[in-house]
Amino acid sequence: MQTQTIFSIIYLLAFASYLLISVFIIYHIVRYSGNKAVMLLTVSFFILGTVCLLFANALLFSSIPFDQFVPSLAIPAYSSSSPF
Amino acid sequence: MFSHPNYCFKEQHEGEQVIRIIRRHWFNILIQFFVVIVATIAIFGSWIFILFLYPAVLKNIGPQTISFIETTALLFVWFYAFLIWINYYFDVWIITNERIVNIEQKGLFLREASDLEFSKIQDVTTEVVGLIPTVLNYGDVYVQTAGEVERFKFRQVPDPYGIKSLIMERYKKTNDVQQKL
Repeated sequence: MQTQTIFSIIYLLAFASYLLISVFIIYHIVRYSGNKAVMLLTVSFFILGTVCLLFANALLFSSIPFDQFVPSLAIPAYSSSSPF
Repeated sequence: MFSHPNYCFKEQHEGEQVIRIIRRHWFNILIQFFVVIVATIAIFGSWIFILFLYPAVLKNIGPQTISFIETTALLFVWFYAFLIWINYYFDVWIITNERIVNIEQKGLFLREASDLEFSKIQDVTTEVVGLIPTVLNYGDVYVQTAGEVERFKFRQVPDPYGIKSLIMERYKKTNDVQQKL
């Protein structure tokens, strides 16, 4: 398994948790807002900001060269000729 | 008199009309948002700091890595800001023509709603403590009751004396109606 893959899995979990937090926040605003206009404005603002940040975050993550950045963490591929 | 015809809340009775919606004073949320403002400045400031003072770090790690760390930090600050907003906006006291409703929001997973009928009120007191609350006119309002909830507290609300007058006015109106019946 490559270093890039390990970091990608960790990032995927983090990304999923960001989405979960976002869903909880949107749920609260939509369900408990007393005023519809305020609710729409707040939700729109939140979604816009979150989408921009998540998109930028994912884009930046994909551009990080982890294999070069952390060469010591690169795990060698399994070899069948190994005595163990 | 009914200043919030468009406002409705989940626990509202049929025909119940909202007279006043009370949230904590804006100074209270400003103090909490101070952390958000400082963190945002620190995130953007760190980029400039690294760019001008440690260009070697920028070269070694790469600008995309630093930008990734910064956007991640910004995401956390963004979520934290909305959690503060939810705590502030949904932590509300509602005075209706029937009762006082206290909806307490603590984070995302705790929401409590309690109510108090005007007929159960025994005493209303206000407390404004400190220089800033005195200047900005905000403080606590305590409503003493004969019911199960012994003391109803409006925390850090604007115009506490006005709120006290409003509660007393509603109490008298309720009493007058009950005496006529």
